[in-house]
Amino acid sequence: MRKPKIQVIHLLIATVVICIGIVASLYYTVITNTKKEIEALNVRYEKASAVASERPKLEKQLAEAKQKFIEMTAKLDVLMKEKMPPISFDDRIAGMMALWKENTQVLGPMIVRWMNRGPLIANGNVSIPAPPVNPNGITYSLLTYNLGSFTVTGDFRSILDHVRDWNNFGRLVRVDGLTLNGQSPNMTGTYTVTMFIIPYGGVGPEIPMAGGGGPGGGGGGGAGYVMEETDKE
Amino acid sequence: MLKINLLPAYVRQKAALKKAIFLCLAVIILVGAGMLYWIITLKNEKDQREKETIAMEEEAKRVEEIRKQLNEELAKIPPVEKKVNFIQGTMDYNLKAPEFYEELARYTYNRVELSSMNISGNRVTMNAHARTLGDFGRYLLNMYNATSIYTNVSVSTIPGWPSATLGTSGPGPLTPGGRDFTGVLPGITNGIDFTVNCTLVKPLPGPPTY
Repeated sequence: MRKPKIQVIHLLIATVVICIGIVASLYYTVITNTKKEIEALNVRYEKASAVASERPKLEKQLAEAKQKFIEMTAKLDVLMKEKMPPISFDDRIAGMMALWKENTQVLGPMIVRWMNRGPLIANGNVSIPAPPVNPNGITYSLLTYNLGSFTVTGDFRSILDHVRDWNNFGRLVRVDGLTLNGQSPNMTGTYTVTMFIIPYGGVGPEIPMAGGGGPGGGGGGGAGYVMEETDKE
Repeated sequence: MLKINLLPAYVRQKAALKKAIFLCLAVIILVGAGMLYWIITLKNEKDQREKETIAMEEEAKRVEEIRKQLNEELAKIPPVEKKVNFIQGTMDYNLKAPEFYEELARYTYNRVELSSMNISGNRVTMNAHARTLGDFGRYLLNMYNATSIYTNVSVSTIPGWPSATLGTSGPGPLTPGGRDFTGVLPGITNGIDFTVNCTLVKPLPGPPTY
């Protein structure tokens, strides 16, 4: 019987080498890559989690924004019904004709009736400017009329009540420059009135047959009539 | 009986070698199995994390949708709010001048008559008439006390003596018992006309803009 060539020590060394080889190769290939992938997934998860955690706050803000819009719209509806004529330039021609009616038939008599309600004696020449005749010239979201100067005669309190009462007029007006002269009960109060119209909706497409537009085009330039270029919608 | 093994050590080595081979193989298999277990565990962890990440990213997408809706809702508010603020602001503005004149009347001595009042920016100009110097003085004191309304009050001068304005054309008659010093100068018939200029603490707000 011959002495075996392979000894136990050889086997031990081989085993250790093989084990190290298995561990190292698997660790530096499969395990390291898997760990990197897990890390990358963690980063994605954290990023998404940060966004997702805002959900309750955003849902609350969304509900509040919707509520605020509903309230604002309801408030505006009430104010528009109280203060604005039913004029819209979504259809430019229809809107222009409604403005004709407002300027030529409605507004003047409305102001005269208002001023003559009493108990004060009122003076002033009401003059409403001519409306535009070119629908393509109407491009603005606020119409401003300078109605001129008015004078009322009466006692101090009645004059102040009269000025405050313009807020009950059927249109939105601004009273400026109130000056008081004389002595109560024959005091005179002088002020200027500016009226505003905010049309409903926006401004519709131009009418090709009506030609080019322009601010106040086609005769809308009567004294005291301004279409303010404050907001084009 | 004594047992003596005369065989050489390497004879038993074959058996020992066989055992050692089995042991080494077992160790290698164990190490391999351990690594495999580790790999499988990591893979499971990776799969689980992947599922969670996908779910969280779906949720983040939904939240971005909500954010987009929120921005759309917020964008709808300003045009409406602008109109509401303009209408309400204009109506509030109309109440400012009457409110101010009433406040002014509270500080006006009731024996002084104002013939005109004019507000321009933060300046108020009033023309007034006082029947006596005492009334004029009390009026002025009232105005100086109105520190909540005015920062600066100035009046036009009143004439000295004699003065056609005051109706004092010369030395007046003495009253029996001496001159009357209660503030009513003998001979004054027309009273005192004067102008008051005041600077407001808070100017009246300007009209709202659209």
